[in-house]
Amino acid sequence: MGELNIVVPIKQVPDVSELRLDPVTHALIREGVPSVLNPYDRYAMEAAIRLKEQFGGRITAITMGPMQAKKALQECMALGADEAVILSDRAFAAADTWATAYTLSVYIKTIPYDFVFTGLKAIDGETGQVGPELAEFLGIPHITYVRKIEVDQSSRSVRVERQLENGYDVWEAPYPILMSIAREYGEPRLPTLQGYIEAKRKQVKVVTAADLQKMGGDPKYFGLKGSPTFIPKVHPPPARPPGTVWEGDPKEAVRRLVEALSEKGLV
Amino acid sequence: MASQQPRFGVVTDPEILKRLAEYRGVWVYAEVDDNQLTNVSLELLAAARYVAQKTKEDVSAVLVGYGIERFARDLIVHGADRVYLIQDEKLKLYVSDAYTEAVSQLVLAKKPSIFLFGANRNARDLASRVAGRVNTGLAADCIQLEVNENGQLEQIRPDFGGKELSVVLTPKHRPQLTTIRPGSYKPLPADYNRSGIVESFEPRLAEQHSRIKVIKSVRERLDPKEDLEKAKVIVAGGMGLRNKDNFKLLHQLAELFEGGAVAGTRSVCEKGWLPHHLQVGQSGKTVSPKLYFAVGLSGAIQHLVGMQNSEVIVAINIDKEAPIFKVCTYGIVGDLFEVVPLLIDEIKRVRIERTLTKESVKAESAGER
Ligand SMILES: Cc1cc2nc3c(=O)[nH]c(=O)nc-3n(C[C@H](O)[C@H](O)[C@H](O)COP(=O)(O)OP(=O)(O)OC[C@H]3O[C@@H](n4cnc5c(N)ncnc54)[C@H](O)[C@@H]3O)c2cc1C
Ligand SMILES: Nc1ncnc2c1ncn2[C@@H]1O[C@H](COP(=O)(O)O)[C@@H](O)[C@H]1O
Repeated sequence: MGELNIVVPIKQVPDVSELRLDPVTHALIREGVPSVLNPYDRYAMEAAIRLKEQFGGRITAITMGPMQAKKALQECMALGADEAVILSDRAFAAADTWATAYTLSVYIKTIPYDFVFTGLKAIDGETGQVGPELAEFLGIPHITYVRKIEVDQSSRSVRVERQLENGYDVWEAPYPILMSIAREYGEPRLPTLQGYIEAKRKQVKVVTAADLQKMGGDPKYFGLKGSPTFIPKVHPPPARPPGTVWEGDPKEAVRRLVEALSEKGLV
Repeated sequence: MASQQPRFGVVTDPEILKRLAEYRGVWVYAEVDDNQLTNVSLELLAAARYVAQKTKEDVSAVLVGYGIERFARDLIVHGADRVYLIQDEKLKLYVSDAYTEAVSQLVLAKKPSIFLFGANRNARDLASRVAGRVNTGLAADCIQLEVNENGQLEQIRPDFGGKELSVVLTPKHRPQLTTIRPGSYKPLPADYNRSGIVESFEPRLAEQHSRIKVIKSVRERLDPKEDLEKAKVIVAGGMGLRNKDNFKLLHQLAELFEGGAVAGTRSVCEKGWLPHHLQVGQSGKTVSPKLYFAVGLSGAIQHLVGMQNSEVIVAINIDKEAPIFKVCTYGIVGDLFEVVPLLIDEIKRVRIERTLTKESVKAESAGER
């Protein structure tokens, strides 16, 4: 049976649990926040590694982002990616999901692939849109929230289970196909020291806007200017008007609370 | 090239404005799942009516499936002026490829200005692929919509788990696609005097548009007492409850209210004290009941984003510095194991008193006759 080519688009994201609000302005403090491999992308890598273990093949991890995102790619190589590609250029900056998906698609179209595995969402934007949009630009079907994959190489098809809020679906589809991998797929492994040592020997391929243009990419769809959406302003979350808080004798506090709720017709 | 990016999203190019003006109307995706309309479908109609009254357009619902005509009336009484009915055997159950093609054909034919989807899993899957197909922007997981002075849709969404709110515009592309978090809007009350048009649309679905086959679709229905999106009163508990057993106390409080439900924080659900579908917050449900009791929970930002639209929030916490007191309408600083039983008794007492006075008023007015 033939080997499988698997592409895993990954993203480097700020570690959200480290993000703090400025106590005075309530604006988000972005400086000095460490960057990590998007936790959801670990599941995509895990799915790729398991298929490679089963069928053999090659895994290509790819990201669009600033050069520092190489670090996230190195982690993917330590996990088992054979190749790593970074699309990096000032022209790609501030892309929304549509432009990100477009840009990724230009490069991915130039390489062979059977599967594209994405994370469920990136923890910074949390949209989960890049996967389906990327599949559209690649002209292949997509399946989101995948928790189980069975590959049938003879018919070049997959049978997968999708995890939903209120149950699950079983779908069958031909590949090449894009899937976003759910947490329920299984715990992702951690990179080993040995993996990191081997990763050091591998190169990260750097691709610029000019390179993508040679591959047929249209620069007017890159980055901020290629993005259909635009964010003119960001606010701190709205504050509610201050409430009434009672301390002291709980009986008295409860009496007042129920009185207040009664006035509002709530009890 | 960079100068073509509209400053602050304002479009002045007459060519583009002319193209944008061809798109009219506010649409919602009416989702059928498990043989019923999803809650969020009716919530979207409320959001759409709010927007449509500002843009002076009408509201259409897009109903996709097979054998689903019966839902059209529900959509009309809840705010739709028109229902586009797309029926095909290939659309019997949700599947990404055929649904995308069917809905995209309708979009390209009728050109809506705004198209709202629920931010639940299947609807956001569909919205993303439609955005790719018709080449437009999509704002995810919005909690509020406004229309700015230029008539553009302001799509307001929490970023970084609610630490920040951003306003997203789609200045030069139409339709403006948005997914809305379930629970962000309340359905309008049914108005049986409303009338609307039902218009059938037949998509052309070729082989290449339905390569994916649905083999099985398994659904579990929620006990209505656990349907947080519909609950009128929610009693939510946090780690302060100490163990699973103590949630009985919260059930006793919730049972005093019609449409009362018990919910919890993520920590509580991870402990297994409550099932995961009762988790409120960023990675759980967004709820907006009339009354939300936050009992023994600290009010972490990830929890707050899921409940801060509740009409009245009552906080009960032993620590007066707990962040929940910053968002509450009423708060009691105290031990929940003391406060909640007192609260239950007091509510019962007040209710009995109230019925007694009503009866005595009745008796008095009867005596006057
Ligand atoms: C990516 C991410 C997503 C998350 N998503 C969610 C989410 O969807 N929902 C969610 O809830 N959390 C979420 N969290 C977790 C969140 O950050 C908090 O950890 C969690 O909400 C805390 O739960 P808690 O309030 O029950 O516990 P704690 O923070 O431990 O609070 C317990 C509270 O109980 C009070 N207390 C203790 N004893 C008593 C008593 N006898 N009487 C009265 N009060 C008492 C204490 O004063 C304290 O304030 C998320 C976190 C991350 C990083
Ligand atoms: N800049 C990027 N480069 C590569 N892959 C990305 C990028 N952004 C998002 N993705 C992929 O798309 C998934 C969903 O991201 P999002 O739509 O941003 O929530 C992520 O889990 C990644 O697999």
